[in-house]
Amino acid sequence: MDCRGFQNQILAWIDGELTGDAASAAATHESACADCTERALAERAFEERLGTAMLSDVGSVSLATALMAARERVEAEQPASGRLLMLRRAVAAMAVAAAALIVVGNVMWFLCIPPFECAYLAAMEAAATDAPLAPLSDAPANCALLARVTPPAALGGFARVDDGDFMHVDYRTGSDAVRARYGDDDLAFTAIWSDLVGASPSFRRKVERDGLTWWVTEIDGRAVVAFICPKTRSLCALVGEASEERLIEAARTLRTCP
Amino acid sequence: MATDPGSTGRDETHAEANGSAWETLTPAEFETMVTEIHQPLMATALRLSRRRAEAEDLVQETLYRGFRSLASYRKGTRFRAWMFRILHNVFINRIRREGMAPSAVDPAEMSPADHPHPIPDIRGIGDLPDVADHHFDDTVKAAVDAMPEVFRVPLVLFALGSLSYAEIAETLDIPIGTVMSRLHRARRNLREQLTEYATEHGYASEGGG
Ligand SMILES: [Zn+2]
Repeated sequence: MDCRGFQNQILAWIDGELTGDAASAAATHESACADCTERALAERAFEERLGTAMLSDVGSVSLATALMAARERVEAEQPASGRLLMLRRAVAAMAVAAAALIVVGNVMWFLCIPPFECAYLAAMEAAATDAPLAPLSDAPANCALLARVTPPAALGGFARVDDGDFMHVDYRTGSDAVRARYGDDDLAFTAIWSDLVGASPSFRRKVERDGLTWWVTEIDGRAVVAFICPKTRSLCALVGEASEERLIEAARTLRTCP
Repeated sequence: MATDPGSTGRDETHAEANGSAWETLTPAEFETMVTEIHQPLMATALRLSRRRAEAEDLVQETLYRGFRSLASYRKGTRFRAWMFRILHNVFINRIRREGMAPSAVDPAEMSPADHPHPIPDIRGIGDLPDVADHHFDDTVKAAVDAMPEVFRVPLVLFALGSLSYAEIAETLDIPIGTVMSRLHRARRNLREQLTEYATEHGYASEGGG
């Protein structure tokens, strides 16, 4: 593939929609061509900025109220005795109260206010250390995730230490992830590819470096660097005892995604 | 795979009627999962309808249909794609009910994949405007809102719904090549307009583009 061929397919490439030979050819060209690498980075940053712009006028809409109205409408279509209806209303009232708590919790969570910290980042840190729920070969439910994500044998010059494991990453709703350990005597880290799409871990921990967005924090002396994979749009992270800068450096190579 | 979400009447027995029972969501699980996608769902409704009150109404109807069709959602399939498909169904039904014809399709765009006009080099825009640049945000939204529906709908399903090309094709019931072609034209159009904006506002870098 030459520059022209790459640029003709650049959108499909950054969207993660190229497969097989086309994907291999694009990856090979991108890794060998500084100009196309720069252009692909610019396109990814531009797409991210467009997404932010299109989300900018959503404002505050009460989901709890909308959900309650939808649920009541469904219930009203179903025959129910008066007593059952009262019970349902009581449950609905409790759900509204719970939803209000969730809204408050979400705000604190989003802003990384204790005790919530940065829930996504904390979950990533936990996923790097917790024992796996299922070995790689024994998780048929996660085949789809593994089909998309194969931890490479080396990452940013660091070799994979052992096979990746499937992890259940405990965000609020649960999500699955693949993890693999990389490193040498100098630097060791865990890379995590999750199936969680559309997450923005933290407003306060967001940093921009060279036009790329990262979410960083330190938990129990371990740096957590998370980012959105431009290919799958899902949340990925590196967790390690190295400095945030070293992890970002290693994560740069991961942003092109295996 | 969940089928025909929200487009038919009550379908709680769908799974068993098909003889292939699958695990479905409970209402509580549905509510939790909706929390995750509520913002992009609302943003998509806004860009589809271009009016706030109508967008809120679209989301409300989508939630109702989601609740009603829980039995047709199969756990483990993409919840997001399912919900955005319901939203699109609701939107299309509205358009039909109001007697508004969908905008015409340019026959030229029916030849997929072959893009005679490559997208402009976005580096010509220079440094991207800061996230606090609301004027840029407004320019983006106005450009999207001004697009004919055939380009606007796949664009918002892609950019806000995070749907794959295949999921958009399934949602809109059009070939994947047509999705690619429409997305390409929509995004090329956006880049051209924002390059103009960047030039007018002094962002554009010399020699770029
Ligand atoms: Zn090149």
